[in-house]
Amino acid sequence: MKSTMREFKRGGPGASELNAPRGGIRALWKLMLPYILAYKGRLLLIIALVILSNLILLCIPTFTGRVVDAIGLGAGQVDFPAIYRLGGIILGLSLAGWLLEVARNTLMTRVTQRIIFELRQTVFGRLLHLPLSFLESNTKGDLISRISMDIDQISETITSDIITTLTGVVTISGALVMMVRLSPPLSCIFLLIIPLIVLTARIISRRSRRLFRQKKIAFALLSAHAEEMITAQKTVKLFGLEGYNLETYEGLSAAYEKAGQEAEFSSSQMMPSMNAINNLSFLLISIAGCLLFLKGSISIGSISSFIIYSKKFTSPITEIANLYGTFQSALSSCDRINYLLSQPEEVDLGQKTPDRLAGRVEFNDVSFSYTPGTPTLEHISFRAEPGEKIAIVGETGSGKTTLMNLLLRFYDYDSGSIRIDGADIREMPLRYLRRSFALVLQENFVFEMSIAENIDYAAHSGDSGRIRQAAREVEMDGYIASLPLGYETPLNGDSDKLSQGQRQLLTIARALMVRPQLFIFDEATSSVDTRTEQRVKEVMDRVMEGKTSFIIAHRLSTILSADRILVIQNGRLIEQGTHAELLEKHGVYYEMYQSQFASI
Amino acid sequence: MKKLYPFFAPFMKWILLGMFLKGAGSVADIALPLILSRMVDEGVVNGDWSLIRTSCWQMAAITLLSLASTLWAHYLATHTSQRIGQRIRDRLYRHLQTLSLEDVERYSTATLTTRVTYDIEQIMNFVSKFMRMLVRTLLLGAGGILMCIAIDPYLTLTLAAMMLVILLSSSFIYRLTHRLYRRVQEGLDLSSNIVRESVSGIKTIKAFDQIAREKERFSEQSAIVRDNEVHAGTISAILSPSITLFSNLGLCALLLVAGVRIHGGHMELGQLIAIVSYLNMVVHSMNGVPRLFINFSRASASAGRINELFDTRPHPPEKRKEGAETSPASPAITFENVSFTYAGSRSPTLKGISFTVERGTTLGIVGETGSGKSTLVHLLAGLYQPQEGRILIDGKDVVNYQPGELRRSLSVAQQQYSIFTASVRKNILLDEEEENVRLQRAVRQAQLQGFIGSLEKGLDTEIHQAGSNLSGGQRQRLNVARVFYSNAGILVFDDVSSALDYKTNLHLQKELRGLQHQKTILMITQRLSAIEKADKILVLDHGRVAGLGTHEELLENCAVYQDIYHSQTEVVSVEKYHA
Repeated sequence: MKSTMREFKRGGPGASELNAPRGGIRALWKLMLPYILAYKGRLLLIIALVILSNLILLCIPTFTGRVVDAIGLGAGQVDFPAIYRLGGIILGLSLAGWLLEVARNTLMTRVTQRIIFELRQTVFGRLLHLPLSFLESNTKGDLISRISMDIDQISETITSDIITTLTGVVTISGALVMMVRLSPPLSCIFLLIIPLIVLTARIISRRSRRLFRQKKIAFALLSAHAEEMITAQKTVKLFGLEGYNLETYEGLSAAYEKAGQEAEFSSSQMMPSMNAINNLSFLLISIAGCLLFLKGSISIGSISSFIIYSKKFTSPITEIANLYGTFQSALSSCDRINYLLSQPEEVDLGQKTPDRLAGRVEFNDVSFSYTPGTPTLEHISFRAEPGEKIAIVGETGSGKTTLMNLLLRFYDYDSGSIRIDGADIREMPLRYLRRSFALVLQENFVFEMSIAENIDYAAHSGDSGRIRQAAREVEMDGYIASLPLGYETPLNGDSDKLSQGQRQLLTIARALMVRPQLFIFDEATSSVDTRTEQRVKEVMDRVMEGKTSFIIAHRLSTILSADRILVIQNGRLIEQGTHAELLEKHGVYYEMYQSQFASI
Repeated sequence: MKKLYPFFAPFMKWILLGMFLKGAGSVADIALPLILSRMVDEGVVNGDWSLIRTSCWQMAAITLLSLASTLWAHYLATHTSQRIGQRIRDRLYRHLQTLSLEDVERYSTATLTTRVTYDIEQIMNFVSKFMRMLVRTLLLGAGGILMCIAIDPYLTLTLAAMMLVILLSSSFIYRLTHRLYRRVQEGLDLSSNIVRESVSGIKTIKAFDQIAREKERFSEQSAIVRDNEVHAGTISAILSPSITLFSNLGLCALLLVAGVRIHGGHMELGQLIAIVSYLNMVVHSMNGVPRLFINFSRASASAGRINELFDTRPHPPEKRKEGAETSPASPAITFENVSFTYAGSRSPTLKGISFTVERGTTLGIVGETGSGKSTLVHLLAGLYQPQEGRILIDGKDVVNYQPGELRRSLSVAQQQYSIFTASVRKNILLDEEEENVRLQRAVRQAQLQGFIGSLEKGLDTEIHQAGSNLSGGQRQRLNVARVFYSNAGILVFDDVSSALDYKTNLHLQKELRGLQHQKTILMITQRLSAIEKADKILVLDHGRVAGLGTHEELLENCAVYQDIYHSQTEVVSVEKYHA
């Protein structure tokens, strides 16, 4: 819901949810075709079952009509053998109909769930292969709802809605045929009522659809506000914002109440209106039926059957009219999924796999921009020799992290070239390239797994000895062992079991487990206190011995021991050299250095 | 559900009226076949045209009246349910605001949001469906049976037996599937979690080449969901066909009995037609029963979750006799032997903390990650209550402050703050009155003038949700600007410099030094350089006070402080070495 509202506000890629779907039925068809083909046998069987079961059930009123006739007009005239025979037929038809319907439903559940399962795998798999640029420009909530809600919505449509429609069509046409067979004159009268039914259904469902869209928007706004304020509760309490918060909430709540009332009332008018029309037709048919009966051209049983069929005629129309709304949401969902599926995957054309990496990294005149026209990095050239420790410094937003994003090919540079051991990184298989690096990020990501699994996440070794060793290296072993569940302690998104700093140490331990030839530490110690940082630095120094490493840091102390320091400013590499060289230059680096320790 | 009754009570008259109207509309439906059967048996068979005419008019009038009263009933149903929903929603949200952080934090943000939105929606749905369907179902069911009894009691037994079978079997199947669908839901939540994790940790996943593994994790979880869905689906697949089956079986039995009765001359054909109509009506009303069951179970689950929140009573700390009023002579901040343990935590986060901060002085607080620095700030701001000891601000115990009152004495720049979906201006002012000079000054002090100047709409620029259109540094400076704008006498800065670059930080530190002696300042930081000039420095170590004094004093006698100092000044000695 959160995503809905944001998209609604900015009219972004998913705004379709609240507007008319663009792709239409064809897009839905295209999305589902592979699955329809894969299950075509079973789907055809389902359709056959739907038609057959409905036809069978449709016959029953004809036979009950005949039973009524067999009972006849008065005492002593009842034709019992006929009743037994017809009763037997009704019984048989009911059982057959039941069997077919149960078979249909069971089959349908299986097919639908398989399709949902496969579609989910496809969409999720695709998601993981999309470039970072896409994932970062979409909210988590939005992506999750595409995989859960949107796929559900589509499957809902392809199963229950299509079955309802099919059943409806079979019932309507079957009922019509039966009515004409029973009595053409009565059918003519009923035909007069059909336009009234269709028109009423159309008017009410159209208006309701519009109102429900408004309701949805109001709901999205309300949820978004609630979520934002609940997330921000500490700030709300600290600054005494309860009043503002409540006032806004109650305003949105009242708006939602109004929208909800209008939408619900509008759609609730369908049933009574249809009921009234039904009663009206009941009345007309009864009167006309009686007249015909008196003329002797119709039996009472036939009238009774006819009335039942006329009732069977209207209910599918109401149902189909109500379906329109869900069908529209399915189309929107389809748009949202197609949007995901149509994104280009990360380019991975590389084939050259070097035997062993020495770890020489070269940037030759590399330029890159996230948005065309505003360059993020311009003409960056430098070289890191195997085993060198390169520190990258610069102000927030100067492009330090982008540099590393290019190296790992999270983004592809626009011009120039990046080479590792002389080979262009675009010519290496993506998996190989990334496996050559260990990355530790500032936003220390911890998975909802146990501590041991988190440390072992990248290495996948299952070796508890190595896991403990890695924990020991970042000085976490003691703390972890002191937890009641030790290494098996489950972690979750916002657990209090580990502090920010401890989480960071855990991610460093994770990187230590793989020990590749290249290391990247992106602000890895900025959430760790200075004393811990000191300890971690020692660990890092030990591990990175002989490996090429890149360290991005705000704190100059972290990068002091680097072999070379790159100073980035506004996307350009303006100074490079050792700490002493740069200080002597009295340039940008010198200024930064002075500012940090100005007061000492 | 019962516990939510007070919300329904004020609307009881409308609920009853709605149900009555709905009932009236349904009675009309019941009356039609009756009139028709009389018309057939007495009018048509005897050729009594005046009876036929009267009957027709009666039926037409009844149809219209039924339409009118049903529409009115539906209006009342939707209106009442929405109003009740709004009331519960507003009350719940208000209630949520009164709870202490400790109580609220037991729930995740997603859970709470769901409770104030989705769960209430379920209750509204049920109220509305209840008003619209229950009476009708009951009336059509009971009415149909009553009418049948009036016509012929023998037939009624057949009808009643059929209804009983349908009701029993649907409730049985419903109970069976209910549990299964709950399991499906839990599985779905787990798989959504994997998606959330994968997206959040995408850099880590890609960098360590673990895409295949994530796919596998997701696939395993989705397979569980699929199997549960199929399991539940297969059972509920029987439900709706069975209702049709039972009603058809009932029909057979009915016709047979009717045959016997008419043969014996106890009944007429018109009556049989009426009974067949009623049978259809009863069956039709039964169709709604499973749906009502589903609605009810959802609503009662939702009601349970809502009640859980309502049952979490706010327990405002007891007011204390001592420290009831502020006094000009007392220090700005006093901590007296304060200890605090988070709910569910085994060891105290703060233990026996005592210190005072005189007015107009600056206290620096340093300590390792996890030493309890931010917790100390949260206690000071009254977000949590210490289990032991007391905290005084201007001589008045924090627990004695009215909600909102503390805000005028104390302004906090949090380490983990929130940016709101509102204009830049609103984000700085928050709840305070706008004063242009003050605002300009705060913007300048927080080093925001350059950023705001670069914005087309300046202070009126709208910030997206969670500040997504701002950089980390810009967000941090907004956070700081809030405090600079405040008129409070005590300003607290909780590690605000970590997201800022050197230059910005340098300017910020200068601004803060300019405020020294005007305001009481608490500076929590990891950089000693930022607090070295503070009047006093508090050193926290594992939740205890490891030292309290000036920079020079601490260097003399505090081991923890010396450690921190050396870890940071090693740099300087290297520089000296190079120089």
